[in-house]
Amino acid sequence: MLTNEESDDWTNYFTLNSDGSINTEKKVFQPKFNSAQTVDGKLAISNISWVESANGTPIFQWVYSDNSSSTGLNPTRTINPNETLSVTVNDGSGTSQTLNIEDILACSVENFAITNMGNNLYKFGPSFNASSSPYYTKWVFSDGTTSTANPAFKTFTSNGTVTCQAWRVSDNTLACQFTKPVNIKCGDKKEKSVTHIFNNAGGSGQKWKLDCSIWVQSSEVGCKSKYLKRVGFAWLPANNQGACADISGTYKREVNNPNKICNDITASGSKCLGNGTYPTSVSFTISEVPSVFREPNLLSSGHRIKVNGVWMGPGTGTMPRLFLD
Amino acid sequence: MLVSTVIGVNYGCLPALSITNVSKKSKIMSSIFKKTISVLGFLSIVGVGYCQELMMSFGPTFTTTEQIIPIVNGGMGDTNTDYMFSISYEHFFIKKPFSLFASFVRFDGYTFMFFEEGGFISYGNEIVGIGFSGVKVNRFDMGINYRLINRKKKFYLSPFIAMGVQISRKTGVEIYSELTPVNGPNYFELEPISADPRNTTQIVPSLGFRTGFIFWKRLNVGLCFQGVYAYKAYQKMYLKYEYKGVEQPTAEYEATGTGLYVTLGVGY
Repeated sequence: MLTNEESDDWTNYFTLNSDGSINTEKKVFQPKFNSAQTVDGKLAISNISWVESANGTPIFQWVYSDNSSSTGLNPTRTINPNETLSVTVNDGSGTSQTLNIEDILACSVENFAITNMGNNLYKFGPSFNASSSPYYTKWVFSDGTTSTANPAFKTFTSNGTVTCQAWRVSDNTLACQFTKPVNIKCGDKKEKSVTHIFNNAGGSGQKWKLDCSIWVQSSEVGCKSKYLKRVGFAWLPANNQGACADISGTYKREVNNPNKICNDITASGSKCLGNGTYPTSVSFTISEVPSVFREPNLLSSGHRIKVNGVWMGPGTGTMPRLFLD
Repeated sequence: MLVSTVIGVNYGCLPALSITNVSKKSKIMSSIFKKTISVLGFLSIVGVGYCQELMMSFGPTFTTTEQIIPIVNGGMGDTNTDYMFSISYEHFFIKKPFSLFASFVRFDGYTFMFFEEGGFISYGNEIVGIGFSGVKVNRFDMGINYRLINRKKKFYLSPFIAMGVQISRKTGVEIYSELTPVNGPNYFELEPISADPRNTTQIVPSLGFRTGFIFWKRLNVGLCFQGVYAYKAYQKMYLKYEYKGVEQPTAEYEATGTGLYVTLGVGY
């Protein structure tokens, strides 16, 4: 089942000339269809074309295999698998365009699926079956590059567009094309946390609790080490020989001038407390503009406390740092 | 009509209302003040007079982690999970031994799971517990205090009963269980520890008592012990594991908010 797309996804239009070139006249016919297979194996065509006419209401005339016909935005019945179908669009002033069933299916939105694979890598397709289809797709990107791969992949580093084209294999002419904006995403916000309870910390016989957190939140990048010692039945602030929280790596900052781009920002810094009894935590934060995002596995934090002359916690010895994945 | 009133800002136990001057200016204003006077008149009949107290407190939360399916030899574990701030308002009635109160607390909702000592060594460190907080818990209580000791004494002791609304909200924080894989010598994870924080709303009953001293008839330094019973889990933790080479039922721990809340505060 194919689904309709939001109308504002496809901002450009085209009109077909007989040679497949783009018509720059004011009259606009942008063929675009949804097709779906019904329960009984037939094909249901839904017309979502854009027609602009200065002279009267455009007329869609559908002609079926048995030469019967109907008018209206959509066909009045479903189509058998091998049945022919054509639609003629008349703008009311003599300009008309006829598409056969192959063109209608080629211009189905299914053939122009765009999928965000994450980290601004986009997949373009699935496309036409290269061995059997009378069409092939070509993707024209706003940076000037093109691809006829099936499917095509491209990483966008700033906002741009992709023009999705269906070409006829027989004469290498353009059947239809759509231009679609591609809006990149610099990432998302994230916070991770875990608490470890160390037994016999540093061989001291003491029990310490270390809470480790790292975050890229609304306007802040940071990490925190929260630590308490077990005294009787409660966790309490107690004397230790040091506590640290440090952060390193990169995160993204979104900049919107003139197009959205995602800059890599280096994060580095730490905060430590020396020997003594302090409140329960130490944290290191970087205040930022709201548009900051994490990059998977590129920002990490270290958390450690020193008890009985031994440092312990993520980022000490062989214990790995806490990565924001 | 010009009306000057002193309404309920008497933080000691002073009369609740005094009217110093009245002159006619508007029927609407007159109506409003008549209604106000009626309400305060009713209060004065019921309570003779009243006074209030605001208190700020801080203290540990001893919330229990329920062991639905415990880890083999994991022990009972821990209850003192975090610390919290509390703000409360208390409304006294003169010559009455009881008072009404409302309080608000907010704390991180933790769940912990515990291991046998020496059974879980991670990068040279012996780990006996892994915990996580993925929810913020807010609780609003309303209740009634009863004074056991004459109110003119400096020392007071007041048991209370309360009903509260406890609301937990997920913070979006994810557990970083991959940092410390459970990898022997006794316990081996089959899947990393996972957590399931939840948004919940529930009515929670509680019992407790307050005790402390009143200085200069106004400054209250006191302790509050409040036991709360909650039944909906606001966070669960799971571990699928083997113990000494034998696969065990998936361990399941949960926290509901049931526990003891102890605060030390100052009120006026």
